[in-house]
Amino acid sequence: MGIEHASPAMILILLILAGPLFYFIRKAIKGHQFFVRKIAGIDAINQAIGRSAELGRPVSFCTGLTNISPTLYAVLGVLFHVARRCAIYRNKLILPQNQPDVMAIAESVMKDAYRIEGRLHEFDPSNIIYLSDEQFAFASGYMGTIHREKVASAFLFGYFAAESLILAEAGQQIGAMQVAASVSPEQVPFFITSCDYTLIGEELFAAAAYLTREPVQMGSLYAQDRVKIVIFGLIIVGVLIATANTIFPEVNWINIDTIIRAPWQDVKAWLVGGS
Amino acid sequence: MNYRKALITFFTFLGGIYFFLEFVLPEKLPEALGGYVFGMFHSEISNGFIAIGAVAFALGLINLFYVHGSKIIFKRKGALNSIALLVSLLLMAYLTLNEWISSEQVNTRSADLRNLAAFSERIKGDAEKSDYEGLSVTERVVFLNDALKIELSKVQAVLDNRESAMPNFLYEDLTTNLAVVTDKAEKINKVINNGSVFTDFTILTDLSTALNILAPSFYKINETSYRTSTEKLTYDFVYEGFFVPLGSAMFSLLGFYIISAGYRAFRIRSTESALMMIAAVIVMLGQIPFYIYIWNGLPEVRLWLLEYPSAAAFRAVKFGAAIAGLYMAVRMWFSIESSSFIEEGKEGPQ
Repeated sequence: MGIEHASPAMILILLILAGPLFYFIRKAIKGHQFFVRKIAGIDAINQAIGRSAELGRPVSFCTGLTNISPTLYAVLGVLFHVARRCAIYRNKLILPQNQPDVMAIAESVMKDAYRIEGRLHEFDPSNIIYLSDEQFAFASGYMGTIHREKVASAFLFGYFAAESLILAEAGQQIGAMQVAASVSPEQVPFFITSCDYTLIGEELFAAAAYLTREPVQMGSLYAQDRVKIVIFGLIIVGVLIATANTIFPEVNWINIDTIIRAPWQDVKAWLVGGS
Repeated sequence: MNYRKALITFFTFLGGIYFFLEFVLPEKLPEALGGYVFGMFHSEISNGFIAIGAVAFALGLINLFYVHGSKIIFKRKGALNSIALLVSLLLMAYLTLNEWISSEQVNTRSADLRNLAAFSERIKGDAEKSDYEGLSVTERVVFLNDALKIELSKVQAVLDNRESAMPNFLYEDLTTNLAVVTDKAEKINKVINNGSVFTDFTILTDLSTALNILAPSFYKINETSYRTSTEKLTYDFVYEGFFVPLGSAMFSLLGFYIISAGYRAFRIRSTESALMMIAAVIVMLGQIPFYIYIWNGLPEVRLWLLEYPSAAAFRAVKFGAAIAGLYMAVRMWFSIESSSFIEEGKEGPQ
């Protein structure tokens, strides 16, 4: 069942979750260095761009079916890095697009990357190609584009659905080095089988921080890892309570999900001691 | 902070705060706090966002014309494909527009009759009100009579130009219902032509009822005619006959790709790939009816694999992505997201 309005416990959890974010971002801005473990898939991004430069063939960066959402902003961080590298190495960077609004933002990011590298004159807007908002028309357009352009490296970052394998196999057929990252776990196996490197779930959100070492992103990344530990603890406690209630029904502790979902009236009743 | 960035930050925060409050506040605030229903205008606000999103489609169109138009003009590689794309785009746009106009006409034609029925009821209702200040009943009935003549002539025109492909009973229905309305209309006409004051309100009620019966039969005949019209058939031919099968063909490619991807994935190169292959074989064998020739317990093992280890991994990935997404959303909302790819003229990260 979907949730339309937050319960008091949900608001409390949201506030608790937001706390570490601001704390660690502040800490990172003050110059604290956070450790991030080595992620092979992210390291491979630079390798892929380098390979493309050596072969003198284009790079393609596909945001899939991602619409304007937090995922897109995580992807744009990576796109910014890839575009900067491509500008430095004078690689052709192709951006096949599925959503027109995303296309406008991606174009702006790519343009900024070229400007920062002092290569704005080499920025070609016709490399940002709007294919179609229809899933399979987009997939066929992508296949055709990367086959014709013979891309050396392909990045598949964002949200993907059933077309994921079609896109990844198209890159595989032309021998492109492929790095994929998806937040949809259903598509991860397809990418693992067809791409050289795959970032799973939140690694996509970590990619931009890892590549740029930018304090805001590093602080945020560190905070989310700490929060995950808290949530992991909550899961363990929840499982223990639910198990205890099943084995010893006379204990009758309140389950964590009951507390989380409890509406305002119930919380008021608990606090003032009503029924 | 420059003016442009400040404006973006302000509107981003404003948009975020609305949806945040809409989520965290109860559906209705307690009476002590005014009892305000926060989500009162939610659908209007959501529609506004949808409208802005729809405008973005123009960007897609501009890009298509820019990229493919320049290819054609400068005769670059693939210009022929670009011609095919732009011709298909324009043709589809024309056919869709034509089809949309035809389908809209079907609704408006019968809606006009319903509006007249409502007007007829309204005249009667207003006449019964003591505080009504407007045109006199007779003047309004004259307008009603004029409008009726126009609308009934449209219905008559449909009957005069019968389409042989249409079922006869639809015309019979329409003829009968039209006759009833015409009878009422003639009565009204007679009163108006006599120049007397209109007082017989039962005719208006009868007319309203008759019009409400005529409207559906007129709609039905228009709708049937629309379904067999050239506009609809051409649109269906292009959309259902070309576009949908092409999409299905792309989807069917997946079957072949799964085989080639599976072939690569199931090669045992390490302990992990061996485990993956064993799990995949169990899941596949447990899915097909042949499992009875191998081992009866296969479907149960398959189900266990999917519902426990696999589901646990799925949930872990989703949890991680959800928290990361939430943090990214907060950074966007407060505009504390790295400005590296949005701030103009600033040197990016090294």
